[in-house]
Amino acid sequence: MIKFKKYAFVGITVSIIIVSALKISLADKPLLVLDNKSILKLLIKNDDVLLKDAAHCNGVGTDETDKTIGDYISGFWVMHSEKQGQNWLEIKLDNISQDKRLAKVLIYRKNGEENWGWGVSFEINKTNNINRSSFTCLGSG
Amino acid sequence: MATTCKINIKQYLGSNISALCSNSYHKSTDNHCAHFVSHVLGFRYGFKCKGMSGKGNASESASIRVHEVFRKCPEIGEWSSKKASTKFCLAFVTSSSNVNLKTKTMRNHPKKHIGIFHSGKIYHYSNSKNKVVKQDPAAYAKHYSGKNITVYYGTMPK
Repeated sequence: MIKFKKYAFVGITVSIIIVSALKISLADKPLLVLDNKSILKLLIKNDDVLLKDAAHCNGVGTDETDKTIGDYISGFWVMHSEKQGQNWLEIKLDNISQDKRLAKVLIYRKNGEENWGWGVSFEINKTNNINRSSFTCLGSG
Repeated sequence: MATTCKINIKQYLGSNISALCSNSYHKSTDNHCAHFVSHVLGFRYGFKCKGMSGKGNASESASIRVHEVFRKCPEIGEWSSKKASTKFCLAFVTSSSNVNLKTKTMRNHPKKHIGIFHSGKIYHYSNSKNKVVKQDPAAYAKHYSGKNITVYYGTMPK
């Protein structure tokens, strides 16, 4: 009986050490790498987020009927079908904490006095999932 | 509602937006027309410059979206219907298809612009020249090419 107790004690102690080590190793694990293509894929996957649920998105759609982030983004992106002038995307990813990053996707166009950039920012967690309530609409003009 | 201009607007002629904005929102690839107007006139509606740069002081942050300023104007109309006695107001230019005068709303179409009308001239931020310029209303009406480009006046928001 005493021998069993001794083994049980050792077993529990070893288990605690292993679990603690795993916890430390997970906490220190670097954020998964995300390239620009993956950031765009995440945005497209979440295109159904409602503008009314996002920050500073009231009235940002190019059409009054725009309801979602997808409607809004499409309204500006379609202007890249214009061949005159310069069209480009700006995609950025910044660490905001140990397990959170802020992605920014902006659609830009410049053609004389037509000069604008509109888009969104959103948070991405450690496992590369979007926080759907973190969308903010960016842009001026 | 302000009907007379108490600001020396001429002092801004030729200035880059960096001379007006202390919140580090100066990117030349971004549009600063509403940003310029809002810093000069003290508009603080909706989304502001600090939101774009993430830097600076919230109390010195100014509006940056034309359609958000447009809906704050107590009175709006086509430029041709502006009273001759109005010497100080906002001047918007965009396609008439972007404006609903009944609901006093403007769609967020990127081809839209804003300036300050004062003593016969419109002071606005040229995003191609990256500086404040002044034009008479007839020249301002040609800011964009295309059909149905129309100039609108807006009386000063409170």
